Amino acid sequence: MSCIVFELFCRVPAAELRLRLCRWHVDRCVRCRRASESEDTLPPILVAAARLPAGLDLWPGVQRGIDGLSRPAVSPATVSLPARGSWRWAYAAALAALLVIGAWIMILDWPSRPLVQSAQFTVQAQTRLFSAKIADRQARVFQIQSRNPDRAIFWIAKDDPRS
Amino acid sequence: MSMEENDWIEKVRRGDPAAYEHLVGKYQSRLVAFLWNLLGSGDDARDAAQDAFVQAYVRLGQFDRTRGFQNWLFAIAYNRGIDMLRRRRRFRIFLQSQAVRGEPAAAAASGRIEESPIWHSALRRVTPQERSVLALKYNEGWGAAEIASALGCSESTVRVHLLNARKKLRKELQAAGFTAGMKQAPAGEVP
Repeated sequence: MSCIVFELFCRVPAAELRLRLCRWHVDRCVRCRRASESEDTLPPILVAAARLPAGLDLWPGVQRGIDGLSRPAVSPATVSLPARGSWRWAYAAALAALLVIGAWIMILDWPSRPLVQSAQFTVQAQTRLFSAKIADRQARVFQIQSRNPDRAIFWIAKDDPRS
Repeated sequence: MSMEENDWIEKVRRGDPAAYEHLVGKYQSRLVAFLWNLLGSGDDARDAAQDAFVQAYVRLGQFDRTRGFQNWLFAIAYNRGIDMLRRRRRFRIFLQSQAVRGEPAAAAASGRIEESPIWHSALRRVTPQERSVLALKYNEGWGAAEIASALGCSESTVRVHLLNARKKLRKELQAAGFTAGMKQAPAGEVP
């Protein structure tokens, strides 16, 4: 059993404040800590693994799921991937880099061509890249066509499976 | 984490999906039971466990060996279960549709307390987080630190959830005629 102070804190109406107070109290109250560690007060209501029916086999479904992904597990050589939030930054950085490269190309080409010519410019890309793979995974391909029709830049980025 | 388990994980990481079957077989029952307690539905638990195994396979590159595979796997399953609860809100609807009816003692005597109205009535009082803490403590025998790691919260939060859950369940089950202080029920089959 927990103590009376805990019981009082449990009656605080605001949920966030209630949890904060209860946590603060449990950290300091020996009796509540002891109560939280005891194991003899649980009613018999939980579903336990031993009570599941025999013949449970998730593997066929898991295998279908894995096959559907058509990508293998990460090889041991791969360094741990950054957390999900980091991917957003990675994409933002990639996009920024793309813009900088685009701007750089435009600046390089600027003095070589008069404005009139740029208005009449049409893309004459002869080289196309339809797909690319990085480490056996399908990657995204971005094509940047410079003002010079003989020059095209391809940007290949890893395809984030979670995006 | 045992050396043998480490070997299996290493095989999967080297691109051997068949090795993953071994890990699925080892943890599937415990994961389904855990998710069943969290979601309140056997079908949802199986679906969520399956999804969790697929997610774990995809994210095996992020697995930190110092944490332990089972803790990491249960953390994925917990997040999957919480996502499921948030998205579908089926659990709440399901529970609300279950009126407390019949004779609780008879249902308990059949060894299928999960099917009895008492089970639903009692668990309705307990939050998903509290159910998860109960399941990990009593089914898996984990300590507060390990549970906190899987659930992504502090040890104090785990202790608060545990105390609250017990209090609510004790009250609910006593009102229904069960005696407090009982251990987790022995084996009986869940359909």
